[in-house]
Amino acid sequence: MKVIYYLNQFYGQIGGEEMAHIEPQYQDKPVGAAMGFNGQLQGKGQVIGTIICGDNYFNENREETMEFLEKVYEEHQPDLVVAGPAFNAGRYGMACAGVAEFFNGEHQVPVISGMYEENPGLETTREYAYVVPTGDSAASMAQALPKFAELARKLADGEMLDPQVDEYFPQGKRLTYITEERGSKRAVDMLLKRLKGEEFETELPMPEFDRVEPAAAIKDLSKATIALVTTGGIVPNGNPDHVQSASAQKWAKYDVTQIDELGEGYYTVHGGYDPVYANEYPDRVAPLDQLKRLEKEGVIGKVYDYFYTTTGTGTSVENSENFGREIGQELLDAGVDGAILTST
Amino acid sequence: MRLELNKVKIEDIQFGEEMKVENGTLYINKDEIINTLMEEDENITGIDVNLARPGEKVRIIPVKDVIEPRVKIEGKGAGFPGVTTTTQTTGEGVVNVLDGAAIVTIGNQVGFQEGVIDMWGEGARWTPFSKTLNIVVDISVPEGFSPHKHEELVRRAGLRASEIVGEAAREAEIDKTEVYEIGNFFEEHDKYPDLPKIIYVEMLISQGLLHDGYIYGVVSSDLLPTLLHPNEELDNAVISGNCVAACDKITTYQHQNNSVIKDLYELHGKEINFLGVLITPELTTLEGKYRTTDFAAKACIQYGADGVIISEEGYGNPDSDLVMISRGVEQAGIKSVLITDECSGWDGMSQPLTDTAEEAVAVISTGNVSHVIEVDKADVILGNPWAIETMSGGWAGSYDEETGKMKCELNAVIGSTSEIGYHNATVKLY
Amino acid sequence: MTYLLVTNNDEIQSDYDIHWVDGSFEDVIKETHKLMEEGHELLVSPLPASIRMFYSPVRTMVLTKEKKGPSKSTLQLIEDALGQYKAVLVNKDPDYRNLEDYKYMDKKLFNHAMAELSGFNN
Repeated sequence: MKVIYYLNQFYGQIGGEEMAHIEPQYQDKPVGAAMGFNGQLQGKGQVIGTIICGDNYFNENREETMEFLEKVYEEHQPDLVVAGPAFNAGRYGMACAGVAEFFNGEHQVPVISGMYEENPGLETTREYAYVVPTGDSAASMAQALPKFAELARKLADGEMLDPQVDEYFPQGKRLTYITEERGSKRAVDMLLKRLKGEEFETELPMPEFDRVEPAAAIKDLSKATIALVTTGGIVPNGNPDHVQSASAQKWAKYDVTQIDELGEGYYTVHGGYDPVYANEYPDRVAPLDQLKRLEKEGVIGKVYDYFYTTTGTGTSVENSENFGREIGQELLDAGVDGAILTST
Repeated sequence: MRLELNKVKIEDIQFGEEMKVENGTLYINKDEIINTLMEEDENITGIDVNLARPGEKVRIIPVKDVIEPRVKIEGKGAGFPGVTTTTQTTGEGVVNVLDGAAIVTIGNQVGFQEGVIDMWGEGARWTPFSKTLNIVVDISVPEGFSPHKHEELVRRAGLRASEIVGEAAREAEIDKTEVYEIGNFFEEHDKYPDLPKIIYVEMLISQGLLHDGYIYGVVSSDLLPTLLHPNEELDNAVISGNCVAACDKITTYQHQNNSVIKDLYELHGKEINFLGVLITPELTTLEGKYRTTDFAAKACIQYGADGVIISEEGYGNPDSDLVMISRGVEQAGIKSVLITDECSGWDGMSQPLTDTAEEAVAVISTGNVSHVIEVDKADVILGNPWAIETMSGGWAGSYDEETGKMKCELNAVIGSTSEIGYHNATVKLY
Repeated sequence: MTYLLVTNNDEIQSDYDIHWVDGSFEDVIKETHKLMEEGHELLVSPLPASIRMFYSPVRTMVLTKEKKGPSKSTLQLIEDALGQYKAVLVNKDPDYRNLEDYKYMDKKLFNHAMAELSGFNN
């Protein structure tokens, strides 16, 4: 079984954060963490090469990176791809997601990966790869690699993996099979358990509902101050505050009192959509121009002085909640009546 | 009400001179079926009767309905009251049942109807009717006969065929007797005051031609949710007019042997107090849905239920009714368990239901209707061979000319994902 | 209350206004959505009740002619309907092979829906 291993700049032993911009490269041997993995395959396969790529480069240059991966695929035809573990590193997790989606989604190559359950890259990666749960830091590398190797050996043997037995994040595949008891009997048994207050497991979980109570409606819009907030990654030219293009670690605010539109002074750094139209006219994503027009027409009282921005793609739920609270508190303190939040 | 079902175990079916049972073999007088049906309905231009036994490489397609042949030997409400006989309440008396035999009506009223029963191989695993000894009745009607009249004719003829064949049970030797007895609410409460009271909410597709059910011959869309004594459904009060959703349509046979009713009955007096069956129509209009689901929930509350089992028929807009009833009863403190199939795509990754509610915490999944199986070439096809081409999953080049193997979705297999939990399919998350 | 029908089925005949859709089942859903955004209220389920009917090339919806809606829940319903319709069909085309039969069935089911509606005193 030919294995190709994907690592970021750090685990690929190139450098730290300062090297996150490096282009992807391919080495004809296992490097860094790939070596540890390679040593545990027990003859069932071997790592024939390692792809190393900077986390920022991957997230900001999708097209070029995909072209690179395609070349690697064509030339080396791997039987298995391993990516990570990314622990809680958001951009690395997003890169693993991209690798998994490419090799498994496009070419049906099985992929193994690993990350911490809160890594924003998990949602996509798990659909295409068998993702092993890890701790949130590299301290858990020693536990992760043996699990990677175990899954790899089973795949080499042609075994079907089961999330409950092999301990990886369920992929969301609902597979049908014939079981011993008929549905009505299972239903009656489940009802008895519920009536007795016993634990039971539903066969069809409902999606998780995250309810937010809306605030009361604004009584007089013509007197209201409305703020514009976006997760579309719209920032001033040059991105002075270095808002990340994915897996945002911060939000930023900019004074918009002197302008009637974002226009040429702004652009997008968001790594999750085709930037052409947003770069042409960023108000398409964050419609400051329209808000200013409504202010002039007297439909709203005033556009709030500051425009708030961050990047939504790959941003962790925890960060998102924190940003929301922080921005919300500022707006509240400033006496803003309502906010328009645009997302992509 | 007390109903005794005398089971006459059938191990084989054969054609014969006389309609009778001898040493476990059911002998069928083919001419009697054909002549009687043609006499009774002048619109029938021809009838063919064939036999299909478990294990034979026979494919039956497309199936309209499956009915269990029986005869009532004591008590009122013989036949299918309101349909083949005068309306009378059923659920009481003594019925002889040809246990293991089934009448299967075939033929389609519209071109896209589907529903296959394979009597052998992979296909057989997914339908409960690969295990019954099937008497396959193919009824021909005049050219240009409207689908509407055609459906009614075949529906009626299938029921009549089951009665004609059922007569063989009258004098037959009984192998075992099942007794179904539940008194009125007060009697049962007095007997079992501490047992939780359970209502079975049985949703029936009620949306028009080929999408209907009948209770005592009344089309289900005309009814508000109605409480039946479980014996009524076990004794021919409910029949199927659903001809489109092969995988989860409740065939008449499955009404007569409703698995939820039977499994609840097993526990009546021991762990539960089974109050009854609330037949609930699934309507098309939104106003209709609000009315029936609200009323159903209210009925469960009014009758004092502690728990309900809710089963669905069909997929798509009825998912809304299912979760609305669940929400209605859960908010009143009644515990519900839902039985439904799902449509999660060929890879099982899509959202399984078209509607959801956080109150629906206990759901039994009877399978993914899009699950693809591969079936072998049949030696004999009873029905329309070309119907195979129009089958779900049967297009897009999934037919292998050389081997005769064919791919089809569970969607197309009769009873595969039965939402009354009649069959054994389920879903696991990978 | 009077009705506005949205359909791509040329067999539908009615005294009520018909908003003709020159397109597919999917286009009927989209047109219905558009009309709802203009204020018409949806009266029937956008999705069919059996998988087989999802493959129908034709579909008829019933809206109110009056523009006093729609409610949040019906708007949510039509918004979700397009995605759910596509999820059932996946990459398959509607079943054009049986077009005539689907037109007939759609008409029959539409008649049934109208009968349900006429039960109300509006």
